[in-house]
Amino acid sequence: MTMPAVYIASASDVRAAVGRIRDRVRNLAEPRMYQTAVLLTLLTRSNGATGWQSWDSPPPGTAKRFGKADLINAMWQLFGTDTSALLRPGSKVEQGMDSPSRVLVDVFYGANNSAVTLVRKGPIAPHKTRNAAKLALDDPSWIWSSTAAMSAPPVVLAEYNPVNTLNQQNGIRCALPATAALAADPGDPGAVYAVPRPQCPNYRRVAGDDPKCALNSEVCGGQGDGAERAVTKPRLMVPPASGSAGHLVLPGTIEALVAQARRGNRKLPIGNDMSLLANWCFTNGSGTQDASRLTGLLGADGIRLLTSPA
Amino acid sequence: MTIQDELVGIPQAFRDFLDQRGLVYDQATQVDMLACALGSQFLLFAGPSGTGKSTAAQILADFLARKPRHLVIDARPAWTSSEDVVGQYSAFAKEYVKGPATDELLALSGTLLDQPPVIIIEEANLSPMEAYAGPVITTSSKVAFQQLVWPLHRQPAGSTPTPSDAVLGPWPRVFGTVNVDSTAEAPAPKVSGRACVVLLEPPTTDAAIKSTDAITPSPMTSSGPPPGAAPFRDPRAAWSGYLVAADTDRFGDALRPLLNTVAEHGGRGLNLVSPRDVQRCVVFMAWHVPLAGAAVAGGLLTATSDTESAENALLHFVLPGLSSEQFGRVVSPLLKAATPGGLLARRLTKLTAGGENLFGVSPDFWASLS
Repeated sequence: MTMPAVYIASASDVRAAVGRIRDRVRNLAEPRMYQTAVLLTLLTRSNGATGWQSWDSPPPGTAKRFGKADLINAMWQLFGTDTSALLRPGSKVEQGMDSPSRVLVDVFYGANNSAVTLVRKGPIAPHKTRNAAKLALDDPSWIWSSTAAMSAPPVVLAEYNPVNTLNQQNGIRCALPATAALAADPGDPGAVYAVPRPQCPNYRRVAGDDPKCALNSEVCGGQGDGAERAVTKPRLMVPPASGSAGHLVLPGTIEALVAQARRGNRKLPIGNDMSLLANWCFTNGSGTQDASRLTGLLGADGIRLLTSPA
Repeated sequence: MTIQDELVGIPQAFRDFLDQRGLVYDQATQVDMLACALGSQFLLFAGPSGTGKSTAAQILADFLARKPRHLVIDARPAWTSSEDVVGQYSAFAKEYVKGPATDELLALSGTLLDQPPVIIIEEANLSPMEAYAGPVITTSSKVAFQQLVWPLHRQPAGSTPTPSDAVLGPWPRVFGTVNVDSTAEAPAPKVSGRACVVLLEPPTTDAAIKSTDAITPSPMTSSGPPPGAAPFRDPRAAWSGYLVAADTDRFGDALRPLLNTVAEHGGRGLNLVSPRDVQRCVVFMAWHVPLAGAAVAGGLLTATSDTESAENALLHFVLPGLSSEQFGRVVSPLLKAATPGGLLARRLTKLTAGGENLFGVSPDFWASLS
């Protein structure tokens, strides 16, 4: 068997890859957890976030401060490209997005929706917040489309607001510093964080309000409407020490997020599809393609954890 | 099929390329040389005089990269530092005094920056490479490097029009030819340990006679890109392809028995094979496996296997780094374990044949060549 170490891809190959990725992501139990896993892998690998590599080693003393903006930047690294690599020149969507030079195709976002999200940097004039267009895979504006542009549907604009899973309310952040967990259980600090939020000693139920964390008084595991969540997200992102603004990504975070995303052993996106899309975007849709872009961004372990063979 | 596997046509294209020039290497060697040049950035072509080391280096460069991206450096005896190659700033003359390769290196660093350059160092071991080609040796400690920075001087900006560095990229290759004899020593371990050593054999009589075609090679009028240009890029590209297909375990599986043989007989507990060696082996194999598969599909080879790819990798990356004692211990068991008729078996047979007749088993890989 030979592998396409380098290969020529066509726009229709990209369409097929995007379609398969969307199908796989749509079928995941929690697509947002999967997207978070991909982006945290990229961030920790590129030093955009600090990882605590192993429970057997002491935690780093300091940690990078990162948030949603960093996740969006990571998405741009993965799937940002020249507009001409994805949209036909002068297409309705290109015009509707005010002709950006570069766009981001977020194949993970809104997976339950049939439309794919294309994002530009900055709002689309005259709107103040809308910076994205949503279009179906068979929209005539795509570079792979053979449909006459005359039949293009109206352009649907939206505000791009991707995964918000880093918070404490209903995300993976936890206020308990790594130093405190280490002091509580020097032999197994991981066990401290493995305790579900409602059983955490710092979890405080508040009558008529969302539960709060005794350490920082922020909502923890709450619905935002004065009720607590029956099922909370794992605690995977913590400050290295009390008072730190940055957060560590705990050992096993990617595995935990992937497990959460694929409950019931659902399949992850195919590695070759992710690789094709990442490299197509990186090369702006021209020239020879290879898999080095995705493996460079996610690393060998990341590829093994975050993709399926077929 | 919309995704075209470009490697499928590469072995045939290389064979045609060689034929047009009247050059003869057996098919397994052709595939092996291609995999070496695609999967490594620092190659040493070794073998006795007349085995075609310089020809192999040049033909690979021609097949993979355009002429303007080639640079040939003829190494000279008694070079002791990088300045002997690229010159240096003279505080006395207050100007940059160029070396034999300064202009060509700067030309390579300033044009066609989307195409990998190839530097060929002829008779590379006439002087110690670690002395005169230090930047190459240092940079080659990585499995892959996008740029090779060759420092020229450290004068303040504006004191000379010569830039402070020659920056070669993307994914530059350095091909050295090495002829180990009484006038030139084998490369130092720090050099051979970072190189892909390509061992060439003297041609058969038929091949030597066929090579008379090379007296009148076909005129090369094609102005397009060289036939092998497409895959000539990041040496890890093929490995990445296998990685995203979750198919990399096969390389370790094929290598393991051979490495165990080396470890068992060369001396367990010693640093016989470093992680870097293994990384280089699998990056090479990720090219060799599909190339050999393409050669089989095209009828150029009768069969191939991951084991043969692993054997070739061992020959290029592990054996040249063994000490004389280790080499003496492992050569016989490796020969027994090697695929009959394969490249490893053939090369080991040649390496041991001369020494056994005259002096017992040859003392090490490099001494076996002299």
